Amino acid sequence: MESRILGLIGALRARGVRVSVAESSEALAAVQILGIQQRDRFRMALRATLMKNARDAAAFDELFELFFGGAPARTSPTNAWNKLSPKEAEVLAQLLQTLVASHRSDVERLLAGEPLSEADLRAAARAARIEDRAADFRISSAVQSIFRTLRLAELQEAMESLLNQLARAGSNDKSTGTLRDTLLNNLDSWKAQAAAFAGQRLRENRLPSTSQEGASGLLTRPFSRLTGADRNRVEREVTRMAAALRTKLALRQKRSRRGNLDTKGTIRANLRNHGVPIRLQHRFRARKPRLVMICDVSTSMRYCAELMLTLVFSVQNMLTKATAFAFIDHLEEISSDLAGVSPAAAVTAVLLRMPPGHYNTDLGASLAEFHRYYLHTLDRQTTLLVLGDGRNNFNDPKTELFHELGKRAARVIWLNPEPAGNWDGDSDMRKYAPLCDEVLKVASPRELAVAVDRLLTHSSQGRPR
Amino acid sequence: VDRFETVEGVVASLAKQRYIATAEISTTVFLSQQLGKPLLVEGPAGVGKTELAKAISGALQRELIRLQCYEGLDESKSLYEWEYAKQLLYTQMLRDKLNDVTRKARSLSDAANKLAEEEDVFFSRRFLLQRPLLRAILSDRPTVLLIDEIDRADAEFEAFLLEVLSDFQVSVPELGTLRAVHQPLVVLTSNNTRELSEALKRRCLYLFIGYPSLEEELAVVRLKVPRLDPSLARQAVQLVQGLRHRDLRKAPSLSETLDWARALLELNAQEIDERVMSATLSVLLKHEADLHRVMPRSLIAENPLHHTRGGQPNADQAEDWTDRRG
Repeated sequence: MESRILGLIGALRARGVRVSVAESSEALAAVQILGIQQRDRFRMALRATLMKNARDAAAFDELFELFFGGAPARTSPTNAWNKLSPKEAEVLAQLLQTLVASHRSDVERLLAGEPLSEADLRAAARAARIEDRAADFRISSAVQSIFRTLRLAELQEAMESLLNQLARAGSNDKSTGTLRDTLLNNLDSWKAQAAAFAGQRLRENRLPSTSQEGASGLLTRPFSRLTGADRNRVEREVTRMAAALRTKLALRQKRSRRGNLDTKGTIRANLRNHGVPIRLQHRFRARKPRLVMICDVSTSMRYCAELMLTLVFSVQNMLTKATAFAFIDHLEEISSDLAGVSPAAAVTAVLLRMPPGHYNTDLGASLAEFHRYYLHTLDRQTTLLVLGDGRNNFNDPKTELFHELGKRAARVIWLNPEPAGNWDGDSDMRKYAPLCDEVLKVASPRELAVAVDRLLTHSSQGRPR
Repeated sequence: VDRFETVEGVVASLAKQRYIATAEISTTVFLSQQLGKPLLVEGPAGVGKTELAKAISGALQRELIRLQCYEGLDESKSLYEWEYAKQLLYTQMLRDKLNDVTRKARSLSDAANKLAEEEDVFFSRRFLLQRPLLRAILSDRPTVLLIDEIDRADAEFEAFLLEVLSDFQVSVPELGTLRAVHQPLVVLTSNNTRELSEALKRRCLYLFIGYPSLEEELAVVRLKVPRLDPSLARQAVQLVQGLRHRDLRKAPSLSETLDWARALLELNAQEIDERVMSATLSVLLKHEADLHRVMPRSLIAENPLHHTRGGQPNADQAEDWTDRRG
């Protein structure tokens, strides 16, 4: 039982639920207290100790079912031939010859009441690719998938037609009935066998040793190599990172001793000391930056942009104002879309608004649009942040406009997923880079977090003019 | 009873406090006691999280010490503070005695040394203003410590709380380390307005209380507002349950259902018609936008029970239901 529980814990971790060693030992202690006789209590003992987040409930419930789900009642297969009269058996044997060869052997085995062999099950599991897909596979879909590869539905049809032909050939209702019952019973037992096998396979494959890499590996992996399956986990990790960033910034702000003396605050804080200023209060100089972001949301950059928006908007209270724009071939203001929805949803909404058809990244035109309509958003307190690979499809880069924007803003920072060595071909990065105060390479979620942190800490120092 | 003996015992003694505990609630409360772990209760506002702590304290006949969290809550408000005014007052009143002590001193440093010997008088428990956390630790009888709405406090306070919750001891520089005589039973509640730190969650057992099911909610209404007509109660609960599926800024919670049930009773309502509805809707919905969005008439029309009573269920009803889910 203990190893089963540890198996569940491993599977939970593989799913991205964080379970500490202390929590696992607590789970075992809780199980000891509540016992394992009552399944519901057992479940709650594990749930209260292992699951600390309401959004992990679905994952927990599913995995619990997988590891401790009640096993389906196994009916042992029985031989159907014994229940037939010799004449009926003869007719049946003839009818069997009319079946397709692939079905025939299976139906014969069902009639004989043979169970599925280990080899059959292994082959079916391999064909259903249960191992490969274990990470995001639900038990029900795994079972369905293995049923499909065993062609159980077709088998049942073949059996039915066989029984109908038997009835037409003059077999009486009663014996066809028993035959049908026996066959269905045997088929059910195959199903139970397959389901149990699928469950076992999934459990084995969810152990952490064979499962995905840890969260830290995920965060340092380049954006280009993050797949759709990693998406949820990355988003979760990024939210966690954002929380850490927020705390860090708040502490930094609170501990800063560089602010001016806050006379009123000091008097107020020291009232209880008879106004003797024992504790000094400082006023934090408003060094919260104002931020204007221009993000490339074309297919290659989209994911990176979403994550950056997530990070920036989760630390929004550290900013005076954040305005975001998205562009592919033209520019759209997206700050209003970001109110109350996740950045991913907001970016999707923007993409829907953009004209359908092929997208041709045109930073030059987007800059011109920004210059025409949104120039007022830039002032000497504002940091201009551009997120993009600078690949302009040989359109006019309009560097003179970019230069002008840079002059208006306090700072210009460019986040580019490509290292400087790759700035060739249709990349205009070499033209833009000299006009930026900083160009940071952000190829992975971790680098992105570092960049955002840097953005917020060094923002007060504008460049000398 | 000072402790819960079994899970069934939890259910029974909470029921005596007029708190209906689901299997999940009772099991987790029992575990929290057995493992000596704080219980973190999350869920929407008004589902009875704070009420649970009160019921536990009532059931165990332990004092309930409550720490209400808010932004900016710090150690001096939650743990202890030196009572400066009282210290000052004592110094004034004991001036003669102090003079006695320092009179014989030959030098200033000698006087200071003499005073330092008496320092303990001024930094003793007498002048220690105990805030909830310290009170729970120092109490000579077992207590229930309720840390309410922890999500409202800052992350820093959370970190400080971790320290207290893991050892149940506090060090006061002037007094030394104060250890808990009896480890209090700790209940933390959170409305989930922000993500709590992993470290805090790791130290707690987790319990999520969501909106109750129809039967559960009805049972609570019957218990708390027993004089309300049963069929009217059912109708009311069904209506509230329907409201929760709607797109509202603030869905009515169990506490709102109870308020409404009491309002219905006070108004002596015989059935929930449009007049009663428009008079009492503000008890259920606390946002003006919600009040505008929900028309009393449509609510009554939607209520399935109303139709069956009227004996003419119509096609609209089925549509309404699907609408609501979508």
